[in-house]
Amino acid sequence: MAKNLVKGLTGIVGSENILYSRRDLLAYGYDATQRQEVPQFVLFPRSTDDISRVMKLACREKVPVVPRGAGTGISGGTVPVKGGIVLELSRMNRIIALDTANHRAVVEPGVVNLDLQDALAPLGFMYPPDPASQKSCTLGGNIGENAGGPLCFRYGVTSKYVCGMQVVLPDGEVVEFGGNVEDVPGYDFRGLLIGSEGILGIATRLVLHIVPLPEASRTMLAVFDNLEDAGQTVSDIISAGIVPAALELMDRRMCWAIEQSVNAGYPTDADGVLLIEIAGLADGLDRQAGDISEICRRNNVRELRSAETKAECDILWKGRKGAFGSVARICPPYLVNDGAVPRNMLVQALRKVQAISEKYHVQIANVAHAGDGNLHPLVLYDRDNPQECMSARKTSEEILDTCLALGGTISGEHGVGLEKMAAMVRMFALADLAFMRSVKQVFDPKNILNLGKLLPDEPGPVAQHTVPKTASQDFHHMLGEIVGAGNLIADDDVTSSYQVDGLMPEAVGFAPTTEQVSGIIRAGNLYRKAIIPWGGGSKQESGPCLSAANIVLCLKNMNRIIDLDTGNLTVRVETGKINSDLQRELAGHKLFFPLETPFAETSTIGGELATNESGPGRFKYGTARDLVLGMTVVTPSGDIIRPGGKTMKNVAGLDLGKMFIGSWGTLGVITEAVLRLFPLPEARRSICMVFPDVERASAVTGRILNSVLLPTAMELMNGVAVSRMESSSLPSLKEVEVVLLVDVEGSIEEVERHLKQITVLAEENGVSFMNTFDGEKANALWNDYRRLHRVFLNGIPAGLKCKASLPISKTGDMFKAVGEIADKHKIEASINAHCGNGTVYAFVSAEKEKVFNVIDDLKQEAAGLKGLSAIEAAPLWVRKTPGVHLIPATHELMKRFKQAIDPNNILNPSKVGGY
Amino acid sequence: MAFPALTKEESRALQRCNQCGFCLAHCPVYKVTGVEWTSARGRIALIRAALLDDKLDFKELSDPVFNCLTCNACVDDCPAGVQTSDIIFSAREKFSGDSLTNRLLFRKLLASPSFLHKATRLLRLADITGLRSVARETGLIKLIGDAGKAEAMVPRVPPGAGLDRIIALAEKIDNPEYRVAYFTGCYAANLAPQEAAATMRILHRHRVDVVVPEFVCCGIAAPAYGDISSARSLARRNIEIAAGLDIDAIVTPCASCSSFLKGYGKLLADEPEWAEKAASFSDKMKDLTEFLTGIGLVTGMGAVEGRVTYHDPCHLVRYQKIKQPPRSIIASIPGLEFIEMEESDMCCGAAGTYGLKNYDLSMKVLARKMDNIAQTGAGVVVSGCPACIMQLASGARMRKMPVRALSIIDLLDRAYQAAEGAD
Repeated sequence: MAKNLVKGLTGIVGSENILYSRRDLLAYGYDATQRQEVPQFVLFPRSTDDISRVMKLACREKVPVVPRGAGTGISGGTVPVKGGIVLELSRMNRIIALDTANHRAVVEPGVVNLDLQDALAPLGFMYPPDPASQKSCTLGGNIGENAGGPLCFRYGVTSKYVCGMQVVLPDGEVVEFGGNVEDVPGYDFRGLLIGSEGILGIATRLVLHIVPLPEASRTMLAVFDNLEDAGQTVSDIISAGIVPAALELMDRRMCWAIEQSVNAGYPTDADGVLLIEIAGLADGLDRQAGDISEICRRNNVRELRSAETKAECDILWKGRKGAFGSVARICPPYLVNDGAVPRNMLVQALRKVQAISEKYHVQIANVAHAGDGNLHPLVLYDRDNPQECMSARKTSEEILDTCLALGGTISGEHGVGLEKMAAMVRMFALADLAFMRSVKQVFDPKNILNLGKLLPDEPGPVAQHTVPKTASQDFHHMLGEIVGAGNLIADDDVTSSYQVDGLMPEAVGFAPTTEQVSGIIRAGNLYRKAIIPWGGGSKQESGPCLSAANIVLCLKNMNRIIDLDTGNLTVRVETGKINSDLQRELAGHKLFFPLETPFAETSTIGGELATNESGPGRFKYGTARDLVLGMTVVTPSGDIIRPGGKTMKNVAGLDLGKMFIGSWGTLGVITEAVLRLFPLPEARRSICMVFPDVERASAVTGRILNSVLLPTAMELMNGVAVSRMESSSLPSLKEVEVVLLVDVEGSIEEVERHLKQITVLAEENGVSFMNTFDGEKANALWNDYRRLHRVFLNGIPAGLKCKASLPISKTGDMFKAVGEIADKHKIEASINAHCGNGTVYAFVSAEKEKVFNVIDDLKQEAAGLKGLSAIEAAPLWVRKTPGVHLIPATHELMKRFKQAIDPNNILNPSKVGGY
Repeated sequence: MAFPALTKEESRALQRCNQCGFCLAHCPVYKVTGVEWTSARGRIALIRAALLDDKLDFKELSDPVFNCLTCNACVDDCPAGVQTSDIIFSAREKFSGDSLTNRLLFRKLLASPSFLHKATRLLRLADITGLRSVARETGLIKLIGDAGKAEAMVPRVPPGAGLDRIIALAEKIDNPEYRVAYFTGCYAANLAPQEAAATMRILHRHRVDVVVPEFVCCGIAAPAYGDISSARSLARRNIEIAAGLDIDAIVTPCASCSSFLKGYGKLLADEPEWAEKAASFSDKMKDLTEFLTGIGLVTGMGAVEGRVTYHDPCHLVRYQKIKQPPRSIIASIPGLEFIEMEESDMCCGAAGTYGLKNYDLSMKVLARKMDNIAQTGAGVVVSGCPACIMQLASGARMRKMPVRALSIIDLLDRAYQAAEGAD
C-alpha cells in the first residue's frame, strides 16, 4: 500500500515536491516545542488543487495529514504525532494582490508575515497581527493559531483581519469562507476556522484586511521597583481611555535574559518594566506621552526612558521580540506558558506564578502582553534532571490552573496543540468539548486532519440528556413545569402578537434563566416542536421564512447585568437586555459598548448578536464578532456551553462563539454574553456635509480611507433618506445632492486634526454646506440616523430593505446605481451607506409587479461591482418567494452543520438557508 | 567508522537551539531550497537526532554538515545565541578530520608556500598547454564530481605570481608612520599578483613600511573540511613567523584571512604555551580596509566614473563586524555613484571552496545575489574577499551581465592611479 501511496502522492505534486527519506522527514517532525516525531511523507503542494487532490487520496487511504507553515508554533500544533503526511505550505508563498483602495491583501498561506509587512509598508499600509516570530512564521500558520502579538492590544488579533479564505476541507472539497466584502450571508465558518489549529480545514488563499500605517509613534520604557506599580500603571492607562499600540511587561529575570542576548538597555535589577508604544496621529501624541508619564510617575516609576531615534526604538523592540530565544541562553529547554486573565488580574496572576516558582524551586521568567492580560511565564528546567522535568510540568499545570481560577484561559495566543490538551479538560465542561467534537465530526468525518491536537482524544462520558421529570406527558404542562406556569402563555390574544412569518405559535414561554431555556429546548426535542427564540422582536420580519413555529421562547426577562468589570472593561450581561438600557447603565460608569444598532431602543443584545446587527461605528470598532469575548449558549440539544470568557484574547479550543453570531438562532440560543467596553472618548464631533453628487462625496471618503485619519463612522445619505430622517440638523437636498456624515472621536487634538483635514478635503471636492455638532446635538443626530431604518419599515409595510456589501471603494458606485435603479422603475428609494465598510442600504417601496425586478437589478448591479446584494427585511409574500434569498457559498456545509448540531430541526427551522 | 562521542560542551551547544525558527528568515541555503534541514535549526535538529538521540544514522549527516555555507547569517539573529558555524565545524571534524585529502591538502600543500606555488604553476602550465581544455572535453573533469562542474570557477593562473615577486615590491619608506606585516594570503600570492601590487602601492602611499614575511596559509579552509588540528598547526607556524617582527599591525586585504587570523586567539586558547602569543597575534590583525580607514585615507584620488555597488563578504561583515570601512572608502572616491543593493550582506554562495563541493546550491545562492546586483544597474560590484570576487565574476560571466567584480583594494588603487594619470 505504501508504494501505491508514494506513487499516488508523487503523481499529484511531482517528484521534486515530495520527501520521504528518514533524514528529510525528521526535519519536519518538530516545531518550536522541541518535540520530535517522524511523518511518513512531506509534501510541498503548489496549488489549492494539489491540496484538494492530496486530501482526497489521504481520505481514501485514511492517512493522517498535518498542515504546516514554517513550524514556529509553540504548542506542538504541527508535530505529526500520528505520522502520515506533513503538508508543507511554506512554498505557496505568493502575494497575489495588494489592493490598498479596498484595504485588502490576497495571499497564499505560505507568505511570511514580515514579507507581507515589507510589501505593504512602501504603500503606507500594514497588516496588524505581529507575532514575535513574524520574520519566519507564515500567514497560514497565523490563521491556524489566531495569532496575536504586541500590536493586537490596539488593533485586535488575526480573526479581525481575515475577510475571506479559500479552504480545502478534509475530504478534498474546496470551499470559500467569507469573501472580499465584509458581510457575507451564512454561518461564519471563517471565524470558526481561524484558530482551529488545522483540525478543520486547510486555508489555501487568504483575503486579509489591511490598514494604513499610523502617522507617528513613540516608544517608552518604564522601569518599576514594584510589579504592582507596573500593573496599576497598565490599568490606569487603559481606564484613561488611552489605547497604546502595545503595552508589554517583562519581569526581572526576563530583562536579565534579554540583556544577555540583545543589549537593549533593559535594567536587570528592576522588579518589572513596561514597554509602551503609542501610535496614531502626530497631533496629540506628545500630550498622550505626557499623560502616560504622569500616570507612571503617580505609580512610582523609577525611570522613564523615551526612544529618541528609530534605532533606539528598534533595539527596545528587538529585546522584546527575542525574549523567548534569550531565555534559551540561560537554559535551553523551557516550557512556555500562555495563559490569559482579565487584564486587571495580571499582577495578581504574576505574583501567584512567583509563589508557584518558589514552591517547586524552578526559575520562571515572565513576559506579558499586559494590555491584554496575556502572560507568558517561561519555566526553566534541566532536561537531564528528571526531578526538574517533573517540577517544570507541575509548575506549568498550576500556572494554567491559576489563570483559570482568576477567570482566565489556558491559552491567549499560542494555541492548545499538544501542550495544553490536558488542560482543556480543566477549562471546559464536557458539553463544550462534546460540541467541539461534533464540529470536528462535521468537517472531518474520516478523522484524518491534524489528529491528536486541540481536542483531547478520549471523549469523556457525554452528558445524558435528561428531560425534567413531569407527572404528565402533556407538552404544555411540561413547559409550565420548566418555566413556571405564570411564564407560559398560550392565550390567543398574546400568542397572536408573536406571530411570525404567518405562523401562529402555540404558546409563548418567558424563560428567566439559562437552565430554563435549556429545559424548554430539551422538551422541544422530545416533542419535536419548533422553538423560536425572541428578543425584542425587531428583526422577525427579516430573512428567509420559518418553516415551523410552535413555541416562542422569549428572553426579555433575562435582562440582568451579571458582572460589570470596569477594571477589565467588560460586562457579562443576560442577552434579553435592551441595548439602549445597557448603554444608559454603562454611561454612568463613563463606558460604552460600541454596537449602536438601528433598533437599539427595542432590540436586545441577544437578538443583535444572533442577527449580527451593526451600526455606523463598525468602521472603527468592528462588528459583534470583534466585540464579544464570551457567551453562554444553549445548544439545540439543550446543552449549556460557554465559549470564550472575559479575557481579551483566548484561543483555547475552537472559537465556537463566532458560529452563533449571525446564525439567527438556528444553532443555539445565546443567553449571556461578555462584551468589550470602551471608555467614553474625551472629545467627539460629528460633521455634516452636503456634496453636489455621490462622486464627490466618495472622493472625500476615498481620501480619508487612504490616509492616517480614522473616523468612527462615515455615512452617506441621499435626499430621500435625509427627508425621512426629519432631523432639524440636516438641510434638505436638491436632486442628486448627498449628505456625508462623519463622526470623529478621541483626544481633543485628534478630533481637531480630523476636522481640519476633512474640511480641506471637503472644500477641494465642492462641499456646499458644512456643519459640525457635538454633545447632545450630535447624539440626537446619530439617533435620528439610526432610526432611519425603523422609520422606513414602520411607515411603509410593503417596503423593502436591501443590503449590499461591496469592496469599500465601490460603495459610491453602488449608492449611485441604487438611485438609478429607483429612477428606472420610477420608485422612491432611501439610500444610506457605511462608506468605510462597503455597506449600502436601500429602502424602496414598489408595487407588486416591480419588486422582483428591483431586487434582481440590485443583485446584478452589486455582482457587477464584485459585491452582493441581499434582502434583509421585506413583506412575507416577498420573503416567501422561492429564489429570492441569496444562497450562501457554503450552503452544503451549512446544511450538514445544522443537521449535525440540530438533528431534530428544533431551533428556528429554515431561518438560515431554508433547512 | 564509529562516530567520535560528543563532549559535554558540544552537546550543550546543540541543546541550546530552542527551534524558534528565526534562522529560517536568514539562511541563504534555506531560502533557495525551501527544505527545512538546510536551515540552521534543521541541521542542528538532525545532528541532535543522530548524535544525541540515536534517531538517525550519522552517515546521513554528510549533506547537512557539509552544505552549510557557515556564513553566520543565522548566528547574528539567534536569540538563543547558537553558534551554528562552530557546531558545523566540529561536526565536520568528526566526519573527516583525519581523511587522506585533508592530510595532503592541509598538512602538505597549504603548509608550504613554495609547495603551493609549484602547484599553481602546474595549473598555469595546464592552461598554457591546453591540458585543462583536454581534460574538460574528454570528460575527465567530470570524474571529480561537483568539483568538475565547478571547473569554470577556477581562475586562470596569471603570470607574475609568487611570493618572491611580492617581497621584491617592498620599498624603503623614509620616516614611516607605521610599520606593518603584509599577510598576502594564498590568493594574492598565487592567483592575483596585481592585487598584491596594489596593496603595496596603497600602503606605501600612506607612508607605511611593509614587510612581507613568508607566512603559510592562514588555515581557514582546514576546519571547513573538518581538519581543525591542521588549522592549529598552521596557526602556530604563522605566530612563530610574526613573533620576531617589530610591527604595528598585520594587514591583509583578504576578508577570509583576516577573519581567521583574528580568531587565532580563540583557536589556541586551550594551549597554555600558545594562548597568549595567539591572542596578541590576533590583536595585531587588521583587515586592510579597517586599517586604512583607521589611519585615515590620504587624499590625492582621481575620479573613477561609474555606478558601483558593494557586496559584504560574510567574513568581513559578520565574522569581523566590518560594514562601514569599505563603504567609506567607496564614498571617498570621486566620480563614483554608489547604489546599495538589497540583501548586500547575504552570502554569494562562494563560501571559500563551497562551490567546488556543492555546485548547484552555490549557483542558486549566487543567482539571488546576481539578481540583487542587476537591480542596482551597477557596472561594478565591489567586495573585499577573493572568494566572493571570483564567485561574482563567474556569476556575471555565466549570465553575460555587463558587471565587473572588483576588489575594494583594486578600486582604491585605481583612484590613486587616476590622479597620477591626470597629473
